[in-house]
Amino acid sequence: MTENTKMATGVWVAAVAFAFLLPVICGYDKYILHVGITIAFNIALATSMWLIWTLGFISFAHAGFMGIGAYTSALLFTSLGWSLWINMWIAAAVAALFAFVISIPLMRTRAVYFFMASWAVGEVIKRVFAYYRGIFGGWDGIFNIRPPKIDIFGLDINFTSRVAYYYLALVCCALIVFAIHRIIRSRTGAIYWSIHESEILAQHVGINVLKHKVIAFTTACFFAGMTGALYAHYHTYINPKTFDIWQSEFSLVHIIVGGLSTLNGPVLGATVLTIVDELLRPAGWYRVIFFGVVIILTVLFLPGGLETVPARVRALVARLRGRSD
Amino acid sequence: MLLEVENLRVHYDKVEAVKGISLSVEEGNISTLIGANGAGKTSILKAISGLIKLSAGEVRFEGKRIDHMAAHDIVGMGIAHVPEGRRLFGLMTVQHNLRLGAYLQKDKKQLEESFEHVYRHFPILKERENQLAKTLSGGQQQMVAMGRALMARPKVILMDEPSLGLAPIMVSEIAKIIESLKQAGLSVVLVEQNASLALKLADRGYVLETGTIALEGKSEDLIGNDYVKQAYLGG
Repeated sequence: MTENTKMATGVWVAAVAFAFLLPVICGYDKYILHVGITIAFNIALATSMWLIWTLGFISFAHAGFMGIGAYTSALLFTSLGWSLWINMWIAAAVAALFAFVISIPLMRTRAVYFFMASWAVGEVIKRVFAYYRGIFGGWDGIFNIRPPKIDIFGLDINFTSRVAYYYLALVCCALIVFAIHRIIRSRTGAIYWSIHESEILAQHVGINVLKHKVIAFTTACFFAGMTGALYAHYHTYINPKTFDIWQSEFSLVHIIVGGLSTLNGPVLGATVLTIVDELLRPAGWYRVIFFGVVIILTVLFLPGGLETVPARVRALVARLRGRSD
Repeated sequence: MLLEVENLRVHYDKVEAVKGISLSVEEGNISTLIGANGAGKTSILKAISGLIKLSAGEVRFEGKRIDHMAAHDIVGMGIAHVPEGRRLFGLMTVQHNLRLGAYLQKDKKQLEESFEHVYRHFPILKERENQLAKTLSGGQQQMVAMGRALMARPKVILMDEPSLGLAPIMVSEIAKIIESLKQAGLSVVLVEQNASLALKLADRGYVLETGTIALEGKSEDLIGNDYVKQAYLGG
């Protein structure tokens, strides 16, 4: 372990510890916990989107798959009364199944064509939710989705409590991030980056490129579906607009501003921008413009994103020291 | 016969790049395909390793037909391809590049042996293990590309212009390595524009002209051939 990775691990541990202590620190402030939960959802969505990026693709359908998860879970609750504990996994599986089927043709397209094709997929998912009023409630969406309860071993927790849901979102988000971390650190991760760098060369080496693309896409959408289920049971109300291209676009901005080359990027980007977005709430619709400005400024002045800040600071300090000597 | 190609045809849209060529590679031999740009040399290699579709003909490896098999399955059978222009994963370390070559090996001990084997052929790569591939010199990059192919433990290596753009001293270094691979029992299909180098190394040579084989034979015969001398050896 080098100095830097040691430090990175330290920062990660500190961040997770802080996240776990946040309710106490903020005095169980409902608004701050709400922001915390939103950050958790945004991190889960951005990191799973980043997993697809490691193969060189940005999927605009990502929020759509989150929507598939959300609607699956919501419908299972409203029609069968099943709780989030079961629905979450079914939602993830259903999103993954759709992702698997669509990724086989989708992953045959490249670069900007993949952009457009995934955009279309995302749009179709949204339209399907809006069109079939009988099943999905049309543009009005689905109401009365309740958070789950735990009542075992004398433990009685009702997740309508903000604090309880905060911990639920935090744990799930941490698990998703950790799972993606493990994938990227493994042999599979090296294969993903190799496909990212050169698909043709990966083929030369004997890598089954299409297989890996399909698996990565499916895995990422599994996580997105899970996030969707958590989202639905938290907000208790979902509608098609929540899962449209814009949501994917926000995740893309989170990734670009945070940084594209390591998992730190999407986590950092989603955290910082969600907070900034909340602070800008009084600005109303101008917030959307802010996102555009931020992405342009990042590309111009901070290529590599927020994750490169520590290295930049170190370089600056070293230069200043060199001058004073 | 280890590798046989029969009546191979390759089309790019309507243009026929390879017009029905046949060749064969014996075990432990070096065969070379020489010819000018656009003669179809690279297309032949790509067709063998499954990277492009052939429009007609057969490719057999150890008696089994491998045309229409997927590229990754062909690598798994024992045919490794060193692409033209020393293509590497430039943003990865030497070690990671080699590791990807052994993509199909899951056994850890076997993997270590493969690494040792490659480092025996290319000691310099051991020293440069943790360096980013793109920071290496041209010759060293070629070594990584060859090492990566070796990691797959192939029976045949298809090499596409390994001498291209290298300094003369590096060219002879690469030639030595190719020879040592042969001594280790590997078969090599060598595509070269540097005809004199290729024919010196090879047991058998094929002269390609616009998608057909103009001449074939033992390489010492080809070296002596007047036509080859005039057209390819500059004599």
